Order: sequence, then C-alpha cells, then structure tokens
Amino acid sequence: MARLNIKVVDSYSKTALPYVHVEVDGRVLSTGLDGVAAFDLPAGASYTIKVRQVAYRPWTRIIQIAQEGTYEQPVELEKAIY
Amino acid sequence: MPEESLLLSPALFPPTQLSYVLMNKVEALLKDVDLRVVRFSGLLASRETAFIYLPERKLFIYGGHGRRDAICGENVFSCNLVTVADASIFKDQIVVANPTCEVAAELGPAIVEAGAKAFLGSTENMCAHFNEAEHNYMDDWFDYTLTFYRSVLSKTMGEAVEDWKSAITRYMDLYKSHLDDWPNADWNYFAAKMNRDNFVVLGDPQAMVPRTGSEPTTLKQMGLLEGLSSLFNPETLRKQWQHAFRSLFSFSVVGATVAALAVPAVAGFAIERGWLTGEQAEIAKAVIPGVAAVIPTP
Repeated sequence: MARLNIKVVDSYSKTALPYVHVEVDGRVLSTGLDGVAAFDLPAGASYTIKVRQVAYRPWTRIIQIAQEGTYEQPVELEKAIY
Repeated sequence: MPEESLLLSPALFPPTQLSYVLMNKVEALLKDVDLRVVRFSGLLASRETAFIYLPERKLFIYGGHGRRDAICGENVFSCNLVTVADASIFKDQIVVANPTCEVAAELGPAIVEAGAKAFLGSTENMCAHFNEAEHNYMDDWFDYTLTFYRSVLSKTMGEAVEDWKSAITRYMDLYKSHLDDWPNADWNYFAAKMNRDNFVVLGDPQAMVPRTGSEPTTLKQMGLLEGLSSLFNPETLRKQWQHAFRSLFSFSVVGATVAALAVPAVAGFAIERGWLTGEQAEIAKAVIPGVAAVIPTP
C-alpha cells in the first residue's frame, strides 16, 4: 500500500483549508484542521483526485502511484466566490 | 443633465479580475442603448466615489465582492463601499449587484425599504466559473451573465431575473449531461445552480431602466489613471482626498503609506502626460500633498 497525503491550502493566504471534500477514485474524505486528507491506496495504479469546496475553483488531477511509499500532493485552491 | 448610470467594478482581489472584464462588456451594452455611464474601477470603485456620484443616478451596477449587509468595493477587509446604514442613497434608483455575494439578504431589503425602485442580487454566494481543459466554463458564465444584463436594459426587472434563470438552466443541463466526461462538470453544475437559485428581484418586479434618449457619454473612465482624471474638479477633489485618506488609515498604516506615495506619483504622471486641464492640474498640486514636488511649477 502507498500513503497519499493531500494538503489543501488557500492559494492567496496559504492557510490550510479544513473540511474540504477530497475524492480519490470514488473514495471520499474531508480534510482535517491541518488541511490534510490521507488515503491508503494500492501501488501500481493511477488515480483521479477531485478536490471540491464551494467557495473555490475545482481542482482535478490524475496522478500515478508507481510503488509503495508516502506521496505528498499539495493543492492550492483559488477563490471562486464574490 | 444628470448622468444615468453608475458602474463600479473592483479589480484586485480574486476573482474580481473576471467581474472587471465582465463590467467592460456591460459598459459597452449600456452605451449601445445610449445610456450615459460613469464608470469607476479598481481603487476608485470606492465609498467616496459612490457617495459623490450616486445621488444623480437612475441605475447603479456593481460587480465585485459583497456580504449580507454591505457591498465591499476593493477593500474586502473593511467591506464598506455601501452598507445597510447608507441604504437611503439609492432612493428611486434601480440597483443591480451581479456578480456579488449575499447582498440581497440584508442590504437589498434595506435599500428597497429606503425607497429604491428595485434591487437585483443574490441572497447567497455567487460563483465565478473558470476555463478548464475539457470545457470553457468561463465563456458560459460571460454568456449567461450578459444575457441577464441585456434583459436588464430592455425588459422589466422581473423578466430579467427570469431570463437569468433560464440561461443558467440551459448550461446546467449541459453540465449534467457531461458529468461522466467533463471532470469539473460537477462543481460547475452546482456553482451555476447556486447562482441561479438564490438570485432575486426585490421591490417592484415591473420596474424598468428609464432612458431619456440622451447623447452618448463623453466621460470615459476605464481604469485608475483615466478615472483619476475625472475626479479632478474643484467640487470633488478636496472631499475625495480627505475621505479616501481617512478610510485608508482605518484600513491599515501600510495602505495609507502606499496611498501617500502612489497617489501623488500617479497624479503627477497624469499631469505630466497632459491628461488634466491646466485648472485641474493646479487644483491637484494645491490639494494633494506631494504632487507639487513631483511636478514642479514652471
């Protein structure tokens, strides 16, 4: 298994964003107070990450988890509301 | 003859760059139907500008940040371009805030209660859309928002809101049909839904934007420098400077310092380039500290 840590911050203030909806191939977690959502995933596959928070531009990426280990995925969300 | 519309568009704090571009298009729409336009953008989309120019308007349009009880202007931290306490300055006017968050919750009702003909805005957040690899959602946003503004200028306010909702619904249907192959369609569907479902008309839904068939405006204010030029007249300059500086001090010492350095420099630049009349230049030198030093009197 591999550990994928997704850390979500506001792109303007760089502060961590808690309670953000993070989805990795259908598995859903919310970020903690530190802005991190951690997933344990089988290695040797690609995954689609979707990060959603209504006040911010959606963030979607496909990443490759080649082998076991810990992966860090920073996410900076842009403000999308007036 | 009084100018007929006042259009304010902050441009610095994300995502107001998008609403600023939108307001360029809205300004063109207003001029296409021969409505006179006074436009202020960036730092000049300020509380001071609103109070000086609002009393003679028939239509007020704002695109930028807001909250339940106030239109923010460029300063999203103090957020006081127009507050509930100022509601009476919109008497007999039509007020349109789009895109702007939440202002129809408290500010809108207060403005209508104080005598405005109608207020159009959202009770909840309003979202921007962005172009993504799979689809140009931002283009859709421009399209449905400009559909709304065309209706504002030609139909009743109630019909304009209905047109807004219909235009958004078409895009929501499009996004829904592409949930499987457009990776960001889900968010854009809900963003559009939020924009659609919470947008309301308060006051008289039969109200229409009045027009007198006046000649096209000669006042073009599309940015900081051009906007600055329009402010240089004997009646307003002293008040502008005093109010602006006072509010900047309430914002932060850094802001005040930046303003104290930037405003004289920009004013001096405008004088040097010949954008101001001789009389306006003399007033600027006399009233704004530092301008005379930047542009020595010959």
